[in-house]
Amino acid sequence: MIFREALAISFSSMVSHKMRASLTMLGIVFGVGAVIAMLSIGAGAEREALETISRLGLENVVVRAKELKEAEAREIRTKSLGVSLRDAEAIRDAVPGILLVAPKVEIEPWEVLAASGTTEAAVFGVAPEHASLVGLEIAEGRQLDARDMADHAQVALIGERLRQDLYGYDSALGRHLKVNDVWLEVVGVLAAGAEVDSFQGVSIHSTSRSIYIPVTAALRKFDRDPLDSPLTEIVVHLEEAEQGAEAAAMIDNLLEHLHGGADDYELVVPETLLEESRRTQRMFNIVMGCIAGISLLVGGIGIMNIMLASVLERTREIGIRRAVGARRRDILIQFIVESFALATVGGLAGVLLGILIARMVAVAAGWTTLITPWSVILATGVALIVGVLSGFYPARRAATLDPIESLRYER
Amino acid sequence: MSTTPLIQLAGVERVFHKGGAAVRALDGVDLTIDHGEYVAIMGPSGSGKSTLMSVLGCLDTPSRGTYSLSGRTVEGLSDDDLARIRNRQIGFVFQSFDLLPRANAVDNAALPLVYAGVSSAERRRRAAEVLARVGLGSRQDHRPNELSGGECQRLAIARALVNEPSIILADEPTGNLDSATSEEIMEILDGLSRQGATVLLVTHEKEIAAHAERRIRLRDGKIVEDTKNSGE
Repeated sequence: MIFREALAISFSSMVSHKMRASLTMLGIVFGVGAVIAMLSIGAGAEREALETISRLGLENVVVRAKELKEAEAREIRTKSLGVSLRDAEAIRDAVPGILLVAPKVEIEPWEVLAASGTTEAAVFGVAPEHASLVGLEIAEGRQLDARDMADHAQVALIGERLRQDLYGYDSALGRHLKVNDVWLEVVGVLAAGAEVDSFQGVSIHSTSRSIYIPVTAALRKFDRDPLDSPLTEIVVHLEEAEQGAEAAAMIDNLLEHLHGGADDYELVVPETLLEESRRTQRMFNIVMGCIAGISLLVGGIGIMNIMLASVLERTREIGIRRAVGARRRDILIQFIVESFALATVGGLAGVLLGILIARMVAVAAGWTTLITPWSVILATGVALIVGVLSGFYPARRAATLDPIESLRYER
Repeated sequence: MSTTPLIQLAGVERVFHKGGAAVRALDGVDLTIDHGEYVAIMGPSGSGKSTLMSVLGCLDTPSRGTYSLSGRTVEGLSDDDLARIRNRQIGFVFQSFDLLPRANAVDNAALPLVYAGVSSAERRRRAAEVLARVGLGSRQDHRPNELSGGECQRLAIARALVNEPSIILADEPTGNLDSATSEEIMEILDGLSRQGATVLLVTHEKEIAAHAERRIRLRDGKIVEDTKNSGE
């Protein structure tokens, strides 16, 4: 019996003391709300980090040229020429388990023009491997190939939008365009609609406004600052993601040797980044957990406080119940259930509040927030435990009251 | 009826310790009450009648002496056992009614059944029955604050009756009522007695005590008078 009875009593007393009940619950409401909101912000941040990392591609290790200050660069360039094709070849030859190595250089275009017009574009020197790494599709013409590389051929793949800008409705194949001081022949047009900015985790700019030329030609034909690293980056695509750390160590060793110990490159290992981000996330969760735990504790103290007052106020009722046959246990259960019920209702309200805060943060700050089921379960679970625990002491006091004195108690 | 008396007190003492001083509220009470008796317990305040009431009602246990109820010795019983006896064998009626303010008449009357483990439907049925017996059949959904003093006390009697106890313990049942209403309440108690119930009435008013068949007078924790009323 007792549980159902006690629940009914609890809810009727909540209804008849709306103000007091809501004030009592407030601590739990905010505690649970805070937990859920914080965890949702944390989960959102984690998801964003994961997305960023997986955009780099878990099977990839990226060698990136460091940006150097001019004085630094002067110093370093006496020992090392920077990230170069030689590095790419050395990596390909020395490191096992590599599927492909894709060097890339970004060229600053100050002029992109054809006989029929001028436009703006992003210009990249790439190896033929780049196409398979990022999944470049050809609409007409052909891909760059090994011969283009060997010949330092002045040929280009262009994006669909670029083709329209420069040649209108005419075919672009075999036509020429000039980037900076270099004339290039269009040998292929990229498929339209490939508006992805990432493929297999490697970021690519919108391909429709891009020009791709053989990296060898890019290095030889275009003027560049001799202090700059020849290549912008080398993407090393591995067979398996698990090799990442090991391969990175080997690459680092190799490059340190090749660069004469110069610190002019950095290695990005998404696998390691992932680990780090997870560690950060764990720490964030622990800190948040502590803060949220404290607010729930405060909520629990609030409940205990009101329950003690309620025991005092209902001393006479306790006396009556004991006189008509309630055992101590019955009184104990009644008050614990009551505090449990307060915590439950408060917890549910807190869940709603938490979801609301998460939404508001998402809208106001533009952060990704993610409400995970386990955060809801955790927060309400802890709230319920707090409810039972904080109800225990007042309930014990109620249960051990002397029935005769309770009956004589004057309000 | 069995030959064992319903209530048997032998040399019962109850001592309270207040700041080192021992207060002897009951000082060697011997008392036997049989089934179906209608007894008034009288005495000035401080005479120990409330303590006697508590002991008889199993809210309190003697410091010394024995109390047996229906042949069962009360000393040494656990708190749970005492609660069970209060629940099954004793129906309390208090001076200030002591109803649950937020519960309606049916729920108030059914309260002892809650602790007897009776199902909700059965509780309602039995509560409705006793409410009808005390003339509150039409007030089932009213809360105590919607009832008059007399009605409240009738509701309290209904609550005392609902579990069919062997003893009705009424502690100054008319103390908070005007004389007309008091008469009504006493008629109900008289009726219960006529139907065979054992009724113990604690009062300090002679007119009220006159309803009982037997009068016990307490002074300083001792029984100083125990007389049968000769007729009405």
